[in-house]
Amino acid sequence: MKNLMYTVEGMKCGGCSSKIENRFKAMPEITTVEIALDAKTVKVTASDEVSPMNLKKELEGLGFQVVKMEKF
Amino acid sequence: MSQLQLKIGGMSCASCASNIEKSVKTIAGVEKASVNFATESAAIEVSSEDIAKKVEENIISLGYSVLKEGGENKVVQENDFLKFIISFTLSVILFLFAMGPLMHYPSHLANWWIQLVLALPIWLWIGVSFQKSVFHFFKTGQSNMNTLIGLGTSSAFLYSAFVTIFNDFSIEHGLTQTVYFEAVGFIISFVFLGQFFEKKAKKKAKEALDALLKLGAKKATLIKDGKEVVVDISDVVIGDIIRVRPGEKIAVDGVVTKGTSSIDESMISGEPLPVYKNEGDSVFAATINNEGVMEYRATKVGSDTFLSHIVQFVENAQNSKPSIQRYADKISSIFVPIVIIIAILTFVLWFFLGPEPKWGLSISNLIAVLVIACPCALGLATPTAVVVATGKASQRGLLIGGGEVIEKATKVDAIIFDKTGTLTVGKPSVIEFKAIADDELILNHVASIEAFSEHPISKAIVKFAQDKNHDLVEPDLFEIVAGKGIKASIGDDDYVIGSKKLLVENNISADDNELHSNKVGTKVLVAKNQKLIASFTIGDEIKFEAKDVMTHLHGLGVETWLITGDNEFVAHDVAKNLGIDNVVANALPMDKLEYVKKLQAQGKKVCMLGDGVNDAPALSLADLSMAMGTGTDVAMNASDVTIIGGDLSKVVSFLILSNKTMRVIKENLLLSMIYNSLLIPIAAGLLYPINGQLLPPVLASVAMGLSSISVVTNSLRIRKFI
Repeated sequence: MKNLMYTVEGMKCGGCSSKIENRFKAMPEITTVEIALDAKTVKVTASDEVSPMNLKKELEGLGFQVVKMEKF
Repeated sequence: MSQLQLKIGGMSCASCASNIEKSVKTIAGVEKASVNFATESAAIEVSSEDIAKKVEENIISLGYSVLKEGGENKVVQENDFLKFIISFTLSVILFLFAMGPLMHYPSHLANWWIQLVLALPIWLWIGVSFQKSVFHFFKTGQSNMNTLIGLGTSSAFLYSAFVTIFNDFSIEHGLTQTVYFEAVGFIISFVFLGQFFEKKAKKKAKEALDALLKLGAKKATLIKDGKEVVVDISDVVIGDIIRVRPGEKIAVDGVVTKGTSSIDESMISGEPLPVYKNEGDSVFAATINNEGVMEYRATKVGSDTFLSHIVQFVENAQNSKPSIQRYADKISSIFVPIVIIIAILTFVLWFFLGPEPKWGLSISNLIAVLVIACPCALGLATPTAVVVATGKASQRGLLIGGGEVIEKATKVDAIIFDKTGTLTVGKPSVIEFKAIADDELILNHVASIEAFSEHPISKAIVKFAQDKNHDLVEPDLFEIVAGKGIKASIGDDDYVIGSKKLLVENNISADDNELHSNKVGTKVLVAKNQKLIASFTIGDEIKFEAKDVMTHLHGLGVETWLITGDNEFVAHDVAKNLGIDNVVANALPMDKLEYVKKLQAQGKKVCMLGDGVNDAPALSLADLSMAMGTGTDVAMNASDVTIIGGDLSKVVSFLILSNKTMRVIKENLLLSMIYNSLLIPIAAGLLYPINGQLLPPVLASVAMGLSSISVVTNSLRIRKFI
């Protein structure tokens, strides 16, 4: 299991966060998604084969800018 | 005051454009007129809208047409080819009747009548532009190649038709019983074929503007009362707050009010590295927002934006660009009056010294001179050489926009180079990597971290590592420090990678003599666990062939200039490395244009080489312009020549090819005229006192055939030149 936390720019409202949530929940390798609008963070628990880079690209594809990625 | 933009049809050379200009300027209410032969358009400033109609009427009265905007050019070209086919087919049939198997069929006079009917459409319909230029010549005294062709074919046709229709009368008055219908057919057919070739080789210059206009954003996202509203760009007014997302274009010029981002401003500076923007910084329409979400206040909209200024500069430059008089036209304009004088002399001499019937023989020989002096291959001399040269050049990766381009290239004595993307590869790359120890591990970790960033510098480092077959690892932490660099960790190691400023901010000493480098470029420093351990120098690599190119150009006596939007330091470094004569740094698009003007004012013929939108105004004004095929569409569309693949050595190949092609064109002009010119004395009746011989019509045909074959054969030699 892998725990990743992304800090994203451009997440303004509930609409933005549900966009991310829906996309990530549809990915079978992701088990949980937790979004904090105030802290601009997206916490993900995913299986080991998930690459942090691919998730970053997913977020950018949705129109958000990833400024930080950390494992915890 | 308003400006009229007209498309004009029927201009065959630069002197047509200047005639229209002169004439239009005489109309009361016209302030300024600039007619562009290359784009077949005119920009005319008038004091009121009512003048517009007068201007149009004036242009039409001069024998040109005012076209409605739209895709008419292609239709014209297809029609041209169809016309050639018709003309050539009729000419072949004419030949069968004139000197082929049908020579005396069905009877002498009926045969002539058939020829008359066959030649009429060629003379009056297909060749009408040549006949018009004869009128034009008698009205204004200005002549070009068309005048010579028109003069020859008109006198040939009218004389032949007269002899046919008033046959008894003509015999009675001693007119030579000769018809030149088939010569009319072939001359017009060949010249028409030549014109068709040339039109095909000619690139439409107007597209540069279309490509420029496409650069701008169409919509803008306004923030009104806290809500996002998407509006058309034309509805944005000064003071509006506009939000821009990653990957979107800035809609209008403005000042950042909220957020930070890096912006691709290569359109203005030509530089590929994005510029970091903070609150209070200016942003420009059509530049591209890379990563951040930003809000900015509109300060300039519509025709005041920087992009619109570039558009206006390109447009004005295109319209004010002096077009050259074609070599063939220059030669013809000398030849025409000479031919006419010889023809008149022939008439006068025959009339006063010749035998009876004076009228008949004088006129017959005057016509014979005019007919024989009309070189059918003249129309093929330039186009065949141009077609062979452009065809061969395109196989070698050079797209040449027509015959004028080759003629212009032979006169170039100063070349201005853009730096980024023209002299250099145009993409940042690692030009030096230095580490205190553990080079490979450090490179691997740094590249693994940089892989998370989209910044061009990061991409350069990743590519550098991948070229050395590094397998990248996953960092455990990655954080962008906007505009400065990256903080990250892999395992237990903490990394700070970026500018000196970033290291200092993190209390890391950024000085290490061991990592000192003399290379010019952007420095990326690497600190591991609070200690500086490595440095990268990121630069834009100079193309390997660039130095040889400069040596060659200097050998050809061409002055070299480097004008770049990059800073002094880099500009001088590149110029010194390559041995370029003159350097200008920090140049805006308009500065490049100014230097072109300045050099032109010194009497130099300037060639501009560039690849970016920022080069477009200068490219449009330069006497000769070349764009890198690796660059923007705007630059390519604004240029006479495109170098596919961006190989600089093609510049030298092109100049050499042009010089050789020009020599072939001059030889061709001589070849096309020599046979006919040698026959002029015979046509004038020089042999008559000796053996009573006048010009046998078959000699005209032989001269025509020989000169055409010589010209085509000579043009084919160009294939061996590159």
